[in-house]
Amino acid sequence: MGMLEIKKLSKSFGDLEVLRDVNISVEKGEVVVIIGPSGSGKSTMLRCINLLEHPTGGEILYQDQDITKLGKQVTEYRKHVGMVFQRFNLFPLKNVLENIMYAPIHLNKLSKETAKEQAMELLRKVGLETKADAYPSSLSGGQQQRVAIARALAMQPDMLLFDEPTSALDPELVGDVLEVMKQLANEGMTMVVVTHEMGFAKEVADRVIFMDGGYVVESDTPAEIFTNPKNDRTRAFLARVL
Amino acid sequence: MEFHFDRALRTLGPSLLNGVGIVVYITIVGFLFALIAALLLAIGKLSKNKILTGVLSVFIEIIRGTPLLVQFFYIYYVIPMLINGIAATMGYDINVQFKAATCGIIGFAINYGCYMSEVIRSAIVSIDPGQREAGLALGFSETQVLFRFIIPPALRNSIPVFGNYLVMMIKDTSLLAMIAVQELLLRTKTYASQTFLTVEAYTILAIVYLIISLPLSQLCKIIERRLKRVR
Ligand SMILES: Nc1ncnc2c1ncn2[C@@H]1O[C@H](COP(=O)(O)OP(=O)(O)OP(=O)(O)O)[C@@H](O)[C@H]1O
Ligand SMILES: [Mg+2]
Repeated sequence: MGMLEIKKLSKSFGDLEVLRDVNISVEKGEVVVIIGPSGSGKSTMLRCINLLEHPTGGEILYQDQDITKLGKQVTEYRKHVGMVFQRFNLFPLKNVLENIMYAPIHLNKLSKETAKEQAMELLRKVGLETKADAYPSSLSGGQQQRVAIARALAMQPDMLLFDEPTSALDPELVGDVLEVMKQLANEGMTMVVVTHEMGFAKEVADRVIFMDGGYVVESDTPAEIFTNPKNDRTRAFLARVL
Repeated sequence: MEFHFDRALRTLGPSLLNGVGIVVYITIVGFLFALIAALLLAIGKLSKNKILTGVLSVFIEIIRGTPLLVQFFYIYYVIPMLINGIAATMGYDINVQFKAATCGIIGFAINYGCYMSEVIRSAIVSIDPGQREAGLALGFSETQVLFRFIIPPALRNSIPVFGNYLVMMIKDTSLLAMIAVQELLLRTKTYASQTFLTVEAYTILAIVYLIISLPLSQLCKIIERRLKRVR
């Protein structure tokens, strides 16, 4: 049994079926990378995992509990699942340190001192200890995204979700963010990553999932997917992006 | 034609100074209540409860569709009459009356509350939805997200518009002369009719309003620029 089991997941927006019968299992410590063409439902799938979108059908078992039936308890569950967004979504009126400390202080009842120590530690980890007092608007996109990763880590989540974390960045800033993600993967963080960075997928992923038209078309090790794709659609997609 | 500005200033001046005190008092208290009313109305209108939002919309339309002066009259004359009338039919003999200044504060709170609620509401809906998602993803509830990550920046973005409303409210206190609040206009009118120094009195009145509102609008502009500069 994986840490996260997505079973027969479906999602529609009105008449638009975006996810159909999606089955994915994520083991503890695993790095799963999701690739696929635009509009294939990758973000929707990821957002279903922490219930930013509520699935239309199917189950999502997290440590054997169906989280789609949680009701108000969902906030408790979300504390265990961090999310990093394409557009960072830092809190613009709080400085870097406050961005990171805010949730642990208010949700985990950490003392200010402990939260600050932890936040500084995390900033060192993402290479931004000198930016503690800066405001998000004064940071580059790559720096903002690394702060966003630190903010998610501050809740000490069991799993991190990334939705195209480098897509909004200038090319020269992508590397720093990927480096941090790689480091997290090496430390054993469970990660589900939607990305167009095929290099990252090849190097870091334990498993690559190709989605198209709301379906999981193929799910395999990066070696298999990239050198020996079984499905025509996977092949066509890879031919376009590689 | 001969003017006696120095005499007018000497005799009307002290009275106007007292009037300024009343104007400032009513404006500050009225504006604070208007802010609170605006925030409550804005949050209420964002609710998913269709009945609540419907009732609030109708209320706001009524207030925005009628003149502030009429609302002052309504609160000062009609509401006490209604209260006393209803009490009488229930066998109580009471004589409720509101102080004119209190009516001014209530009227401003309601009227400006409605206008400013629309300002806050549109500021709230124009906050990047990513803020809400970031808050939710960290584990905050919808209500926590609203009060911690949405309303503070929305209010901040509304400050320049609030400033304009504050200046408008100061000028609108002149309407309170009609319900006998001893504000600036009423004092000037009384003075002019007693001394016939009409030109002098009303010119001084206009200047007093300018002295209050010009620096305030200037201050608003400075704050607006500041807010833009910091993020
Ligand atoms: N809130 C929504 N309401 C209606 N339709 C939506 C909504 N969110 C997504 N969709 C639609 O669902 C489909 C899948 O969107 P999704 O964002 O999951 O795709 P994606 O694979 O992440 O694409 P991209 O690579 O462009 O980010 C698209 O057709 C999109 O227009
Ligand atoms: Mg997407």
